[in-house]
Amino acid sequence: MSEILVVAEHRKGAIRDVTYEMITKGRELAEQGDLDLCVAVLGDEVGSVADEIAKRAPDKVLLGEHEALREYTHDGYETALASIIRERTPVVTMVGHTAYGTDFAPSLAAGLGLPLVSDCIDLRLEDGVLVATRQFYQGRVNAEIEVDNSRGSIVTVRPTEFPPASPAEPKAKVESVEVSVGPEAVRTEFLEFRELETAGVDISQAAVLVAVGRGIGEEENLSVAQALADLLGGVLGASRPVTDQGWLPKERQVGQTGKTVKPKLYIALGISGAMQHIMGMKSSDLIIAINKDPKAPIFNYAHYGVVADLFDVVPLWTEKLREKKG
Amino acid sequence: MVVSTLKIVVCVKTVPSIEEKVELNTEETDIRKENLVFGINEWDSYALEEAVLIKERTGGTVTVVTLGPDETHLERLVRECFARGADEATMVADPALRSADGMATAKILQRVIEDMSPDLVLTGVQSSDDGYGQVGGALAHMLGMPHVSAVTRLDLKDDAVLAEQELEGGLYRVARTKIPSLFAIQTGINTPRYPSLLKIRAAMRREIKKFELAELGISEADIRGWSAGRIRKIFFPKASTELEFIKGTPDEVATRLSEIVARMVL
Ligand SMILES: Cc1cc2nc3c(=O)[nH]c(=O)nc-3n(C[C@H](O)[C@H](O)[C@H](O)COP(=O)(O)OP(=O)(O)OC[C@H]3O[C@@H](n4cnc5c(N)ncnc54)[C@H](O)[C@@H]3O)c2cc1C
Ligand SMILES: Nc1ncnc2c1ncn2[C@@H]1O[C@H](COP(=O)(O)O)[C@@H](O)[C@H]1O
Repeated sequence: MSEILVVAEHRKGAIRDVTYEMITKGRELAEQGDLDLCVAVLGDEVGSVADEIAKRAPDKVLLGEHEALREYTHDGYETALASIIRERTPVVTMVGHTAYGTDFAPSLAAGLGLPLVSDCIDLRLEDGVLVATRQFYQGRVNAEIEVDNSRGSIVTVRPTEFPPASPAEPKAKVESVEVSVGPEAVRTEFLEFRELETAGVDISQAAVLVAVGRGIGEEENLSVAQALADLLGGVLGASRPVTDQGWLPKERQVGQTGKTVKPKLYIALGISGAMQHIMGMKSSDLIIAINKDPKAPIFNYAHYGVVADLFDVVPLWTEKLREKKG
Repeated sequence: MVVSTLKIVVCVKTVPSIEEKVELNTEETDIRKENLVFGINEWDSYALEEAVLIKERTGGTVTVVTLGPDETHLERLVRECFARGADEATMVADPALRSADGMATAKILQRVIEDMSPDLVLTGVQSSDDGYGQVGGALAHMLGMPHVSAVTRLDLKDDAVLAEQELEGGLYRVARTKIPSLFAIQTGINTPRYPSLLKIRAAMRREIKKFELAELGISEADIRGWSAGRIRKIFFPKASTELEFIKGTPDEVATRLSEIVARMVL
């Protein structure tokens, strides 16, 4: 047990940011435990992906190529990673808490009989023992978990939590590893990618976003937020429950499975601030949040917070802006 | 193979609603739950609805399975599931389940479900309290099934299943698999129905299969062993240092807010 293993995530030839973020955290762990930092790249003809990752200076890049790994499948990833992990017995295997990562990490851990801590926001090694920080209750509390990692461990790491590793010297060596994935191993066949059809407003281009969450209560109440947005020259965005219910089209959704936005002004009305929402808006220039719940996680990311019923404040706010504008 | 009596199992969890009342317990290992209101995990209401829709199209039975420390909460959850269209229910109530994490939960679900030989197992993508996002995938492995997570569309044709998995930023991946298989259902896939009062009343009389952990051959030590580790402590996350709470009457707050954004925008 002498290494930290990061599983690289890439899609359609592009390396996903979480890979570089995990290299940053993985390097810290490697130093704490006097270990090597390795990155596994799986796929078919992905040598250029491996070379690109090698420039971020892990100690080694493991390149596992096989035609059955051409497209992501959980079976393909599990089969390949299980043999790599059995052979190399990393102290910690790091996977992104992403759509792919949350798809294969749980079954991989179950298959190997290794502990899994998901959606980690911090990790450290204390005398070889992994201590992972993750959140419960949709971001309301943090918990420190002491992991029983005597045989190794798997963690999924929340994207956007750590700075990405920059290119550095020395470039890592790329080493091919044998992975065999039998044709019968893959039971979910990849058919195609589909992209959300968009028609109207591109919220990622807006300078001002007034975003509504479940706290808006019902579709009819959208007009309260719309009036504010109109005065500010902005557009309406939404959290997932609002688009799930069809009150606004899916293309207005902010977050991991919606759009990433970075407006000059982001106003969150009745949004609790689940991490999947936060990931899409936390780098906005100015964030104002109105929520009844003083402990709503959205306040941990806001510049100005108002603990109130949005319907007591927003109409008055709109009124005053209207007076100002004359 | 044409499946005429599809056996669908749905894993459902009861979770506390946590607006405005989060306090830590004295050991600082969890929040206080005595006064919280419990209800069906949001993702599981979509999973159950999807199962009932499939049953209505192709025939079959929908069995809900739930585990948890509090028998009263579980029973209320199961009654609600009956009223929403479930046919059968199995529950495991045991205080020892308080310390079960995602992997341990999957292990216990496996013990309950494997004898049912289901064609389809549906879970939610995540539970809103623990947020592990791992029970579905782990359980699939334990049951020897392929799976797809974050499913936003499910089409069944004989024993083939077409599933659309939601990726990031408006991208989806379409995959094909065969039953038996497991799918972790994402919100928005359907519109969960509200149970009518009549159905809720009828559900009061339905039989529920109940197990204790010992009857499944599971001990508290097993649960500890299956879990990833132990929670040392919990604490509230830090607010951003820049945060300023604006206080006062709604009128004062509105005035201050207009000043802030006037500088920004007008
Ligand atoms: C894989 C995955 C991907 C996801 N992707 C996204 C995504 O891209 N975007 C996204 O947003 N979510 C996403 N989610 C869902 C996310 O986990 C949360 O469920 C969601 O963000 C919650 O939305 P909300 O804050 O509007 O609702 P809630 O969490 O229900 O919060 C409503 C808030 O409104 C407040 N409130 C209620 N009434 C009022 C009032 N009158 N005045 C003021 N405040 C009030 C309440 O105090 C509460 O804080 C995803 C989840 C998963 C599992
Ligand atoms: N105690 C439980 N009883 C039944 N199903 C559960 C339980 N915990 C989790 N699940 C299922 O697993 C899904 C994912 O939960 P989690 O991995 O905890 O985020 C949930 O949506 C449920 O379908």
